[in-house]
Amino acid sequence: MRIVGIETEYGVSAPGSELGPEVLSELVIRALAPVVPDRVTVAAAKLGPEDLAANRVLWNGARAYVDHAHPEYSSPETASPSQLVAYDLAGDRLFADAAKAVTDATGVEVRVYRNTTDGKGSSYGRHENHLVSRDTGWQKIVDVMTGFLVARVPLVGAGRVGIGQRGERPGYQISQRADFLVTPIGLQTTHDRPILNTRDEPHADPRRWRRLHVITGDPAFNEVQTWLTVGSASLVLAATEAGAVVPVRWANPVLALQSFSHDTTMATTAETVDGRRLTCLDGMELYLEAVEAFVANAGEAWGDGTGQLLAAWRQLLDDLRSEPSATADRLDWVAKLRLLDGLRSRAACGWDDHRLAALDLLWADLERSPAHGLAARGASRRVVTDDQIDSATTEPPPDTRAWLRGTLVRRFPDDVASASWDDLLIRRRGGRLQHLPMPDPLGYSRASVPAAASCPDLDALISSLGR
Amino acid sequence: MSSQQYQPRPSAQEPQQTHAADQVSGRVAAAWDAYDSILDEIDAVLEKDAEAFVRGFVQKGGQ
Repeated sequence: MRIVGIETEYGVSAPGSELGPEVLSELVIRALAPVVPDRVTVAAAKLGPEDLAANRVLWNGARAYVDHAHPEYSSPETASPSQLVAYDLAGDRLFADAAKAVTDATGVEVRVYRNTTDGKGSSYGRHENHLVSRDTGWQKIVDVMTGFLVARVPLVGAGRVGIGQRGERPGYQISQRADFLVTPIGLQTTHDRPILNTRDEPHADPRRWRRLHVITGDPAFNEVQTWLTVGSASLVLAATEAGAVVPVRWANPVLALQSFSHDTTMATTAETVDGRRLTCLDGMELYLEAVEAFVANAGEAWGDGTGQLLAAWRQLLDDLRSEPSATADRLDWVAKLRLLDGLRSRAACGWDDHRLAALDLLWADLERSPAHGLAARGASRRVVTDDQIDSATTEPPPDTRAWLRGTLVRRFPDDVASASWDDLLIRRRGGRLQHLPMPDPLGYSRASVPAAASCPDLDALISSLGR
Repeated sequence: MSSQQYQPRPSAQEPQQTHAADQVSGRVAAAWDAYDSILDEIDAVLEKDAEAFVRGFVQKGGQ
């Protein structure tokens, strides 16, 4: 079981109002279900600088907070890429509902966006998190993943009108993030953003675990895109742990990634250190072949889900080579480009026309996105069902420590004084506060603490855990 | 996208031509109806003042 999670920094705005993103982010986080509606009105009326930095743990085990003037949803730890798709889209449901609650309570129309740039030079992130064994050599991870993160651009891009950090050049590119990735490796996430982020905060036993923090992808509505983005990276990491991947070493990874993003025909080649010239699809093919061989050699260790994922990844790659427009039912950048080309043709305008940028922004609107209309018309392939997404808004994943976190926060909200990824602060009988450390992301699952769902007494439950 | 990969539907002003468009598969052509229907409605959904709408969307830098 390879634990994965996604953190999404949303855009937020209230067109026509004076309220800025800091205040709007606070209001949205405070309005997340479950919440007493009165609290939203009170918050809106009295919010001042001293009230900022809302921080919530949700019933599904996710965390929601304000991060650098963005409302952020950090999914619970999930046990599979397909499960993560449900929890990722559950975040959209929760945040869209919260925005509506703020709108209703304040009379100010609040909109939340699944994107990563405002087209004016600001970039914010959609980060993937992969739990990796600490035993895996760090340099191996760096070499393999840098090459992969460059090649995978057409898999992870949500599309962007405008080229350059400020969108100064008219046109369309595959990735929203590409122009902001300016160095191959580094620690920063708010400036000098790297392809390979070296942040080492596992929120788990650091002797056993590393959390690889991947900041290069875009947030997509298409379920297949998210599934394959997370699943492919997860499998590449698994293969890396086994020493089964030869990295693609780009001579200039930043230039390669950006030039791949800027070419929607995917014909651009970039040089490798050993003198080959590869397209992004060539690069992805090499990683896919390595993963296919790794999984085949591992026999029964990988289940049906992995087989389906690999087959879907292979079919996507084949389609990107032979009939890219057919991938509109799986990739946001292709679907959005199809709409933009249609608008461009009908309006007989160029890429610098504001209507195209407006459609780009509309695509990201959680409430109004044309992605929903396409899905309703059967023009997108699905990975999960609406019921699964709905359940994921309130029920934590059963196989990770998110299960205990979400279950206790729901059932004993007054006795969980605070919750972080790897710790709960519990109010014991008599009022004493006590920590319950959770250093293993696979620990405290439903299978290991089934009583948490039904026990009438939190204090007795904690005692039964030997604390 | 280059003309090999994507063929927009010809507008009323263009003469019907037989070219690479005929090679686009049935599944792609069928999906186009969904896009056309979205585009038919798009004027109602896009902001009347697209320029002001786009200019007004300003965010702070994040991670």
